Amino acid sequence: MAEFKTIKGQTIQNRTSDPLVAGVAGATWTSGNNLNTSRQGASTTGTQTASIVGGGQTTTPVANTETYDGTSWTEVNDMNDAIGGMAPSVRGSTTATFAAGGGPPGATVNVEFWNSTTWTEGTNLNTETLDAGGAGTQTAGLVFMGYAPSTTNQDNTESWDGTSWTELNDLNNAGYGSACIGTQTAALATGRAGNPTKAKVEEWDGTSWSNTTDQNTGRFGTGGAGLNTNALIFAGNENPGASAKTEHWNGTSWTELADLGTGSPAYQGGCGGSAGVALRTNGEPSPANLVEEFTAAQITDSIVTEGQMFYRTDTGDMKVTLTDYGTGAWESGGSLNTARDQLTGVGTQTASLVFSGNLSPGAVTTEITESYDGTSFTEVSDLNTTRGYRLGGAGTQTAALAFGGGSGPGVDFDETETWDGSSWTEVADLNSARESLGGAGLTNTAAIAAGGYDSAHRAYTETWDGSSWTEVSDLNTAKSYGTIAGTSTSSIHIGGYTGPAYLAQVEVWDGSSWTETTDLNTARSYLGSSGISTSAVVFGGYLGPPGNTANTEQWNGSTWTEVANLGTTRYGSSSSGQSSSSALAAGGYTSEIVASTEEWNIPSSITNLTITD
Amino acid sequence: MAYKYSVKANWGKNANGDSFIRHEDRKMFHIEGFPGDVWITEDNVYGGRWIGRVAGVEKTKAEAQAIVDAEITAAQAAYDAESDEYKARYSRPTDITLP
Repeated sequence: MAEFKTIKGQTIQNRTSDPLVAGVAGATWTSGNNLNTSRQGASTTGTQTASIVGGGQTTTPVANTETYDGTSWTEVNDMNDAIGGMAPSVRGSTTATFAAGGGPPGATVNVEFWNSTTWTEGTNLNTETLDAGGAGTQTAGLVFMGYAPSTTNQDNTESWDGTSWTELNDLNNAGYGSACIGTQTAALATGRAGNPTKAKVEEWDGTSWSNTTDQNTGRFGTGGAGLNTNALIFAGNENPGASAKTEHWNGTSWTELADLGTGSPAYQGGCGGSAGVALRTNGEPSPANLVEEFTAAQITDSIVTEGQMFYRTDTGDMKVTLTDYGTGAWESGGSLNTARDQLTGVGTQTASLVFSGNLSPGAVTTEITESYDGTSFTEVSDLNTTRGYRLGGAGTQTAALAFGGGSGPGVDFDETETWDGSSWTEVADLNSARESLGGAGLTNTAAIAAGGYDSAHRAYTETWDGSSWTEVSDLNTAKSYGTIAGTSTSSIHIGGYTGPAYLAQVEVWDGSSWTETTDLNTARSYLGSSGISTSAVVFGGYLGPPGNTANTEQWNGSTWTEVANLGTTRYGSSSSGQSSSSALAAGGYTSEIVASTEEWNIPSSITNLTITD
Repeated sequence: MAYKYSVKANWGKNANGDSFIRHEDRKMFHIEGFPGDVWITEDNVYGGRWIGRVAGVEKTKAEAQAIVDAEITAAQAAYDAESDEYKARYSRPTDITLP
């Protein structure tokens, strides 16, 4: 009997706008209302819906001041001096802010205070400056770095307590054109002018400046918003060329967000707002009046849910929210401290452990272990048994398993070691000593070892339960130098070598037996892999004479598709990664043993897609 | 990626609070502004719809490039007329080649 819902069907939500992606990652720039007076180098403060822009320069400095209510700009009283390049009190507002320094011509010590209706000349800075950074409020402000014809780039810091300016500790790197971010006691000085344009970032703790993580793109004249733990920078001069880039600071690292785009790249951005709500108010290549607003989803907005379907009553589109995958690509990663090939990797691209390997074609093996944080490798405690020839590996950066391997003709190992994040400990041996085997497992308490070589190529398969190895069903084909992606209960063995033949062969493990499935497009051995049994990526490898390959293929559970090649043709690299969208290939052999690494990434974003015929 | 080229002055937000470019536009197609009120939009139905909504004037790529070039040339001339102090602090506007 038919169910009611089968007859009735599903209810589809009617909407007049798309749901939004949460957080700054889903934020975009859109048009705001344009300024009345085109300009550059204006002093800007406030929020996206309550902002004040004063001074700046067209062909000559201007004194115009405008306030913004989120919809339109209103002319208010002019500054006392027509001047540009003044540092604002970025945590100020349309009712209370200051603008300090400024020029050209020259640089000044001028300070003006805004009290919601008029500008008043205030206590001068100690040092003349223009294009300085600003932070704080009208009564607790900070002005730092800047430029003056007499001193060129400056490293000064001055603090304002509502009464007087006090010189404090200098920046570590002089310059001008920082974004304006933070408070009097917790500020951020971002990229500044220099040659080359500097990406240097410094944090102010109320007493001194300390260097922190560089921004991704060096530039100056950058717009800024937020606090020193959650901030945006946007626009700026990359020297040469104006920037449309936006970066988000989470207190530790910088992430690229949506570019400006509703006007043009801008040599200068405005300041003010929070990390999710920012305002760009300066344009280029000539003075402009373009305004853009950067807005993240708010608590009252509808947030996307993957898989949801809805109907846009305003456009007539039926839509679905899905993860949209971009095109995968390899890019350079941090280099190993010790170049080697036939090494083993576990963990993820940004939290990886690589160990063992061959230091030379002459079969000198090593016990070296290195830990990767997504940027650089650090040497950690060595394996107890020196070995190479592609031993098996499983687990994570802090809980790993190493098993098998070799150290030269006729010398094969059955030793198994576990890694607890600080040292290796010997545990129960493999049943069959062998090198060049495949190994996989997401933890160090459940792993699989398959194939390998001792005096012959082997089909042996063993599984690890955290305390011992158990022999289980053999591979269909005896082989070595293949790779495995997956777990002890669900994995795929890919490629390899049988003696005369380099293999395109792929076998699937279901926890009890191996079954042959779709071949690779390119037969190879010594390849790397990342992923699980239904979604994986393989890369590099040895084709047999005449040599090696940069070829990368992606597995969707039924077919292999050729995707972007490695930047460097190599075989015998390590392979760290637990998904098809992210992997690390470290070391290996090109025309020599190398320390270089490459990182594989497939970008993805949640997108509202229109359903078409 | 194929693009459409058009020219239209950015009105920002109009009296109804409607943006020249809306968030949903940015999510549906690539759009990028260049000097001279030149816009490139992804050549899909949404990019075409946007040009219609803002009453943009479609241009060929060569026509759009000529407009951008004229703007940049003027900006470079303005830069060249600036003081040495200004030039020491800012770089000369660079040529832009439309994608």
